[in-house]
Amino acid sequence: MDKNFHLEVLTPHRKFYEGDVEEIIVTITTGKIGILKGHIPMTAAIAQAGTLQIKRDGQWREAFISGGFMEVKRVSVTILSSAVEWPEEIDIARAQAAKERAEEKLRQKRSRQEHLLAEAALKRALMRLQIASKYKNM
Amino acid sequence: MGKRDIALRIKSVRETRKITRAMYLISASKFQKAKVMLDNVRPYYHKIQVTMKDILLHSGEVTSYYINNNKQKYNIDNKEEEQKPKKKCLIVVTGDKGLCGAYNHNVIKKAEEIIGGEKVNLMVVGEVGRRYFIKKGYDVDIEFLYTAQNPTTTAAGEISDVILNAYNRGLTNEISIVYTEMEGLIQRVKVLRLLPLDIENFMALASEREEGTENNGVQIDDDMIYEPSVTEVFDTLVPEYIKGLVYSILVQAFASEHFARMMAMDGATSNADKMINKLTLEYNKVRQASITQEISEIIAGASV
Repeated sequence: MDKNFHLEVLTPHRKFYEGDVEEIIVTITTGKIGILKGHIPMTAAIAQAGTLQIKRDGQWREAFISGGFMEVKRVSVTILSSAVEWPEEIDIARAQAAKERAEEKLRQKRSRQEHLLAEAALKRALMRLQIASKYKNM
Repeated sequence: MGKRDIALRIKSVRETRKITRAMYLISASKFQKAKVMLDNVRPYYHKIQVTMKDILLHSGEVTSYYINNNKQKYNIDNKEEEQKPKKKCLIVVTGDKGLCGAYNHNVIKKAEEIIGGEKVNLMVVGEVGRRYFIKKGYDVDIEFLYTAQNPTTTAAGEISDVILNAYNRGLTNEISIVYTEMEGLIQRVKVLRLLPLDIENFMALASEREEGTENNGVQIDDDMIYEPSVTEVFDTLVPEYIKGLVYSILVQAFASEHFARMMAMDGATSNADKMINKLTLEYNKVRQASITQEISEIIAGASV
């Protein structure tokens, strides 16, 4: 039996992914969730900083994902997100700079709003760095 | 006009033509860039709308303060809210520069039409509009500084943060946006209500778009589940939707501006060409006349 289902990942800048896959694991706001074919229809909010793992032909690939939501239908899955990047696409220097900037902001006593924003930015930067370094030597 | 004057005039028109020609080329390349961006953002934007509609269809009971006009997130007392006057907010998207035909003028005119005599808080994107409204003494948010050039998702994110923030805190209860839409090669000034969500209009819009594309029809699954909850998903979706919308509006306005400038500069260049032709003809006539005169003077002198 065909275990594959159709996956489409869209960002405002491009179509990140489109194709038939075996399984995906996404970080949503409540934790990581795995989707196989025939999953119950679901709509979920994606975490501010997380990963998107895609299994195709027995091979896993991991990408950085930030924000947006996922819509699971009977036959297909659609992910809409503001940013999705493969490890090799991650701009390490930029993420490093973003991390330092966010840390600096967190050190200063700022308003709650700014604190939350900086915290989210820091999380994104750390996640990007983590994914990038994990696949650096591959 | 003497020969010298005309020659000077031709030279100056040539210089101007060089500038308009260069501006035309710049706008043409920027327009191409904008068109690519526009093509990329479309599927995303379309999908967001379909999903929104999907959710609304499945869960008719979603009560979000994004839909309900009278409720604000941090204001639970409804009665008090209803008595409050409407605090409208209008976002106007203009260009940073002139020299683009009626582009800026059309947007500003439309914005003034909407404002009427009411007190409306204005957020202006683009220098031309900002200067105009400040000069006219409108209530312009001076901290809202975004350029119309080079629209990015970051800028769109910040803009949507600003408006969502204002909306959530009850600083405003209606946010609309005036911009220029680009459809094919036709430009139109459009007004869109961003918040609260215009459900009916929105439903119509989503279904209208679906007709054009196949296989994208909404499948109604009654047992759709929402993780973690309908409200939470909806509340994530709305900012994402607004962000996508603002981004696509910025891209559209950017494309329109450059298209308008392209046309205006193309017109200016061809006018300059016409003028150069006319002036060259006149110059030759004057030159011919002066030569004829000289010859007749010489002949007259010789025959004495």
